[in-house]
Amino acid sequence: MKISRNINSLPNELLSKIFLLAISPQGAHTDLCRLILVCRLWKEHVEDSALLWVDISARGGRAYVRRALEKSKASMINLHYPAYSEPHIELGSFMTEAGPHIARWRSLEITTRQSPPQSLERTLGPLTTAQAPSLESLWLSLSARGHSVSRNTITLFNGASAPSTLKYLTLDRAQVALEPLGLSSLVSLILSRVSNVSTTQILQIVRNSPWLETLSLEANPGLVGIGSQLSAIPPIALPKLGTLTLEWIDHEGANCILSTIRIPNRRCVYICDDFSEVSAPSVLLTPTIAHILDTTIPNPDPQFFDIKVKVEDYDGCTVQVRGMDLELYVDGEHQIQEILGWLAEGLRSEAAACPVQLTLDCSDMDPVRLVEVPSPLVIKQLSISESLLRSLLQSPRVAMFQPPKPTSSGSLLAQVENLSVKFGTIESQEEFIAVLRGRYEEATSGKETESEGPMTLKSVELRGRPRAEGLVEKLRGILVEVNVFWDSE
Amino acid sequence: MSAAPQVTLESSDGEKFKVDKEVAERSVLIKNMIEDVGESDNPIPLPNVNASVLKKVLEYCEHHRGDPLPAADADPSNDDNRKRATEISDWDQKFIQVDQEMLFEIILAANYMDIKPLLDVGCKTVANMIKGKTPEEIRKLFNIVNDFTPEEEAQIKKENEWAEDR
Repeated sequence: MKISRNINSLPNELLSKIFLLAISPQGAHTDLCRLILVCRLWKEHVEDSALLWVDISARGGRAYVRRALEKSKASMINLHYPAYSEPHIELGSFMTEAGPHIARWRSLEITTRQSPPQSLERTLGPLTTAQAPSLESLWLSLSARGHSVSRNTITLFNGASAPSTLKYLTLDRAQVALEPLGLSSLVSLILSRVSNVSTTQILQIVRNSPWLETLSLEANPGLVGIGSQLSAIPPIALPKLGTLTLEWIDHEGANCILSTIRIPNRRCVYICDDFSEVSAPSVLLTPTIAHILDTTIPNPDPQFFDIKVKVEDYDGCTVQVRGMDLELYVDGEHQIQEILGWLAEGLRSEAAACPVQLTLDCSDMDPVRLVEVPSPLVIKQLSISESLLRSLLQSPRVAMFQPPKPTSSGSLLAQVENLSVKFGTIESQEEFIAVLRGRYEEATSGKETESEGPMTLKSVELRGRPRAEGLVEKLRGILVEVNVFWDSE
Repeated sequence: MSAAPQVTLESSDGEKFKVDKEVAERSVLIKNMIEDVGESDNPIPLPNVNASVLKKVLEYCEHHRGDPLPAADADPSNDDNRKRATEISDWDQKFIQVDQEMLFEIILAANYMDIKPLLDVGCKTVANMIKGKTPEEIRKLFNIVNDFTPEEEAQIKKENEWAEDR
């Protein structure tokens, strides 16, 4: 006899599996209630399945927290205290409820935006007074409203070492005493606005964490240069490290860390720094950190080896190459030249094979000096506003729109292949045509010799609005072999 | 070049399916049976799976014949494992677009034949159908009768006040 299948004909273990997939860790309290209300079978099943109660969010309030702690039986639990949970249960009460189950804590995630109470250690209760022997992940974000940073140093685990199971540690504005933790075996370490961590401590932690995959350090004022001590520290191999972030770290502190670690298999490196009053190559971008440009991890992106440079107003400059992302604040064109000089030197013989894509979105820097990239770097793609382009074309050294002359070593933009121009008005488009016609026709009127190759320019993309009718056709009339088109925006 | 070794599977309704051994061995049950019994021309009986379901299961096994074998049981309540578990590949999504009865038959067959990746695809699909729905919508979707009295329902809601939208 054919049995008609429905969801309630599935065996219990499969129903459990489905329910587990259907509840979200952050919203388990509402998801479970929806399941319980479907029918008696589901209610009994949910209430008997310990694994469905392991994600315990303070958003459910005290009654839910108690019930989930009881229903999860002996299972490992994940405790969440998300921001703005205070109306449902205060942090101190949440920790008090969870305290007796500390042996089952697998992860603890606390984000509170309330002003730090008088004694944060007391509020965190069992986290500071007892061992959490199975804790794998700890996330403490204790920022107060107004971004003030708590000055209270918090001692965890009653001053004892962190459990060897701890793999993921994130501290945001949480001034935790790291020394006693004897951290090792970390997979991820994220420290943001932690004032009491020093450069030597960080180096010690990463030395003890050869499986580290993520390291993110942001605005930690204690990470400063260590002077001559650095020479006594041997390199630290981090073969698993894929993601490295250094944001608003003291230049010399960041240089110490980057000089010491070896990250041959990194996927992405992000560095955000301000060089408005110092020379980048003297404090951070030294030859000793050039190894971060290399990675053994293959990347299918054909533009992976391109150097993308974007110069913006407000002195911002981003440089992206090989999964490395530099977001730097500078006080002039010379600093951008210095940064590119460090890149050219660091990339060694490969530099010539890394085409530069330059985007100029700035109005307060000299475009002629910006396109003068250090040898052997070569700009292949230029994205620019029409007004800056016009300034560029006023320079006799700019060779764009001219057949390249091998002997003219001082010429700029001779090898640009793709040009993207942004217009703001119809008039600017007409002016551009006039400038271009004069320049291009002058360059090609009977002066070509056998030593000159063909013009390298392959495409001109036009951007912006309004769009003058016939602009593309006029440009094609001048640049006969160049693909001219409006962008698809 | 010699042909790939084959085995014959027999469904509960007596239909026989000759498939490459590599395809059949996506099922841990069949793999173990072959290892226990050794090479044999006798069909391997699958008394819990009918022909239409077995055909569908073998379509899955054929498509995934070269995939690496699944890792040992990961902790299902671990956040990372669950996040990964909610992803279904495009081909699998299309494959599992079947009516509910067939969906549950595939889940049961995958469970019986011990084909973990197929079991995961089936369970994830059902879980995705449940996500975000109200109890009434879930009942309607799966044709489940509400067997609570109004008083019981009110009592459950009261007991679960923590589930109010927060």
